[in-house]
Amino acid sequence: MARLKSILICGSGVAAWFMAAGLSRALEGQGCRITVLDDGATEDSACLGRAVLSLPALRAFHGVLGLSEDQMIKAARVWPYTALNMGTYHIGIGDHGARLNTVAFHHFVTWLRQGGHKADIDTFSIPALMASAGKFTRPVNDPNSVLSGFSYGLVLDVGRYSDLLRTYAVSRGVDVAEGRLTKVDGSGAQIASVHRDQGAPLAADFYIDATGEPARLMSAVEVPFEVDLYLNANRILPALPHDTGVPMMSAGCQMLPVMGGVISDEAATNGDGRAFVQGRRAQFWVSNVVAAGHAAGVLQPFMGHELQLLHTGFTRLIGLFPDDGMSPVLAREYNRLMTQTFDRVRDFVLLPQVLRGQAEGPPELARKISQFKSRGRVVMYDEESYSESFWVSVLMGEGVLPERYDRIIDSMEPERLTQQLIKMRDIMARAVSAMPPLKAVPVTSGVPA
Amino acid sequence: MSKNSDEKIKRIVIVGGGTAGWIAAAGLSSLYKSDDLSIRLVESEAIGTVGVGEATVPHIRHFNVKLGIDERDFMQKTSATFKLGIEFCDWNRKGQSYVHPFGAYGEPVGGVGFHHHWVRMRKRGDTRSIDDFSLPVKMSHMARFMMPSSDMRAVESTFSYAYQFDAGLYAAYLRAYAEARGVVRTEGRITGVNQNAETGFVEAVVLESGEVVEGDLFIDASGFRGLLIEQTLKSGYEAWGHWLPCDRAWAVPCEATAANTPYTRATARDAGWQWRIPLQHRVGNGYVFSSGLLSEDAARTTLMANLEGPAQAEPKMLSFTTGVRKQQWNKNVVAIGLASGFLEPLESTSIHLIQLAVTNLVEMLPDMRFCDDDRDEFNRVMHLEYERVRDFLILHYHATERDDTPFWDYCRTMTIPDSLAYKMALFRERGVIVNYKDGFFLEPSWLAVYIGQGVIPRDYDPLSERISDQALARYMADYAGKVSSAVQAMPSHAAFLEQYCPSAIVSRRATVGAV
Ligand SMILES: Cc1cc2nc3c(=O)[nH]c(=O)nc-3n(C[C@H](O)[C@H](O)[C@H](O)COP(=O)(O)OP(=O)(O)OC[C@H]3O[C@@H](n4cnc5c(N)ncnc54)[C@H](O)[C@@H]3O)c2cc1C
Repeated sequence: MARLKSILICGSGVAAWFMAAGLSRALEGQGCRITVLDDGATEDSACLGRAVLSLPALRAFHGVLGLSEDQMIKAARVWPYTALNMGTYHIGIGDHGARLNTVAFHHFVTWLRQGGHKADIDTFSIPALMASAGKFTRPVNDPNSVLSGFSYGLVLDVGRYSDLLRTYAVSRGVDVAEGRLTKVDGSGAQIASVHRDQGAPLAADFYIDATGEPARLMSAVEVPFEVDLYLNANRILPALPHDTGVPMMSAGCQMLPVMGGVISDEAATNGDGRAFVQGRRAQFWVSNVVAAGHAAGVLQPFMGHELQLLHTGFTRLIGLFPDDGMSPVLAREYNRLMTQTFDRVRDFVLLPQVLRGQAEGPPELARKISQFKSRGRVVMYDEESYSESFWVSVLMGEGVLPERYDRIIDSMEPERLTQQLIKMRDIMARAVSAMPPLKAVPVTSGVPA
Repeated sequence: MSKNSDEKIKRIVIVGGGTAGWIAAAGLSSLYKSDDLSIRLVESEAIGTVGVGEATVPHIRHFNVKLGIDERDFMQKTSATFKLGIEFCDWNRKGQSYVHPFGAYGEPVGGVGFHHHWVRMRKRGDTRSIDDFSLPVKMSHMARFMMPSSDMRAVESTFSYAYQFDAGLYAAYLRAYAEARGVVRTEGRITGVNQNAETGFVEAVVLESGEVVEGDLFIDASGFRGLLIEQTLKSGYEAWGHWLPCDRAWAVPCEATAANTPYTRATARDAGWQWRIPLQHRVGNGYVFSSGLLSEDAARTTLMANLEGPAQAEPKMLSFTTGVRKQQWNKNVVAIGLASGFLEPLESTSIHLIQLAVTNLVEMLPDMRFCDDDRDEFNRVMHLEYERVRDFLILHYHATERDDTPFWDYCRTMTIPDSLAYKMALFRERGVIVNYKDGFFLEPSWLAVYIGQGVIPRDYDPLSERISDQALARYMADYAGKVSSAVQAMPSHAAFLEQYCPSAIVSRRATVGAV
């Protein structure tokens, strides 16, 4: 069995260049030729909106590429954020309060509320407080500091981010093939070659389908698209931006501040704009082709899943990297992992809609909601992309107050506990008020990677 | 709005005072004040406990920390030794052995797991064993011990450890802990169970003396018999004997003849396997076998012929059916320990599963409404844990070249669950190890057993080749060197025990040494 000698990425936009950039770095020195053939699409292959959020984990990807935040700020109109403003609450990137006596913090909020106190979980979240006060600072490494339990992501301008990745990939020797994709030869269950409007057909050992929703390679090998049964939005329209300093999401409208303005897109179920269908491929890897971005699946914008899914897909592909034997065992594992990953992300996107009674949910999500409602338990499955605190923010933010808190609390001294919680809240508030304003950050700081 | 206080359960009754019962009593009493939740434990000395269960996995340390147990005190009073892993002898082939260590092999290089690099060098003709890159394996071979370093960069931080202790002393230790926190123990044989005529919920257990012990929630820790969960509630049993065919064990303690080894040994025998668990004051032994393929007498003879020192008691026989209770939580009864199911002690998992059940019960603690949600979630989580341990155990039997007895021939050729088959295929193909969120055997454990039992990847992660042969060879030589000098610098396990936590029981080692 021999190593892959060539990879052909079909498509353009973020999905294509993300994979090209990542592979060019991961396969460095392996003598594997990476080529990108543009499919001529006018819409991005991974992001529906014109701006997109990244989650902290993506920093690891940029770190591996050697892209510093400084470079990103210059090139991609990047803006850091610590929470997504949901109108009446925030989804912060980080913990709420602190565990006491092994009990997760949100139980104390339930306890306070049952005791007649007003307790808003946002006021126990540093990243949420930062967002509502328009403050920003980077987290510190000392686990004893209140400033250690949060992180931040970036707001990215999709077009510019894609260009940045493209420049990177090309500078590392990724070839850009002349011409546009016209036809895909799928012989048997694998891709044999890809035709273009000029020059000879291109053949490679391995293919990546980054052609967006048409998924031209996946379609050629007849992998069906499974429409999501629960998510209904099918249009994305440019909307009027509000003046917002932090990312905001309200009634399907996402307003993302990038340097120099706010980009606003609205997901809707009718109207003009860009049409899309939410769902995913039945498989993500068959034989010699892997799907990335919308070719793999489409979900309406929410909190950074676009790049998160690309990143997870990329990391898994590297972990299961094939040779020219194209063992079905590797593809099968990739599909198992990515199917679960995708479905759990879908659950998260769906969660606010289900809680508002706008949509139904699958049994896994129903269990998550009923366990939380009943006793504040956050059920976590394999291959979750969003950690517990994200789920808790949305559940409590949407007004689910667990019927019961963890009973261990009843064995704690109530007076002292109340004081302790008030103190915790004060420390957090003070820490945030001492921070510099968000607007000052990208312009003034040297911003390390 | 309803409040917690409206519907709280006030009385928990634990049925059984074996390891499971006392773990539950200790765990619960450490978290709930006795005036908020009263805990009673009923046990019968006449019936007794199984009296085995002496080797553990490292998770027990987290449990002890949560209880605030002082390690030295604990080890002294339970006559415990340290455990760095399990040595498996004759499993893949007769005459071959390997250690499943509590710790890593090497460290990832260039983002690629160490074992891929090892497979690559092996294909290039390097004959070094992967053991050379595992500190806990080397420590086991040389019977050394030292506490792991907290400096994550040091090679001395690359292992964890568990304990080997006296089961009776362990239960006694936990009993003292629980009683000090208000758990009330009642001695007596349970002869009757009162159920609610309508719901079938258990309302009380009735003792031989006529005493009635009422409760809101019952924990069935009554051992194999499953007094409440099965005899009363008929919850059903999912048997796994076709994958794990052993159904009997003879157990016997013997005198120690050599210095304590910091690991448990599992030696494959004709129709099962024999354990050896070294404690400070004695050695626990047992032969786990399949009664369909070996008579009880013959098994007993084999065990007695394979003891390193004089037996300290008559061997005791235990029978079991491997599998799991269909509902570990049914109505207001939660089964833990042997009452909840049985997986043979090949990887010392039972005590861990008991602690996990207690942790999950705390997480899902019901109130008087006993909503199905609490029960279903507990059952879902625990069933998954049982299945994942089961698959790992099956691997030990199935990945073998042995065909010398009908037992091994069966195991080698049996059909295994899909959930395991695909994992093995992935490893064989390309050294990929499947990880789950739950499931407590992590990468190094799978790696140890795969490689130890001859499942060697055909190929490695191609990204390994980003590192040149020379650079890799240098790295590996360097790492192996660090492992070996770290071990050299450590005291012997026996010496470490002697100064750290000498057993409270009078040691017999001095006299044994003279024999
Ligand atoms: C051969 C063998 C080897 C093992 N090795 C290990 C190992 O190395 N590591 C490990 O982690 N686990 C091991 N285990 C498992 C471990 O021994 C058990 O998980 C552990 O001892 C818990 O047992 P238990 O408390 O559930 O049951 P038991 O010890 O059987 O206790 C049952 C209790 O219920 C009481 N009882 C029962 N009926 C009545 C009644 N009618 N009235 C009043 N009281 C009653 C009894 O008196 C007793 O107190 C092993 C098991 C076996 C069989």
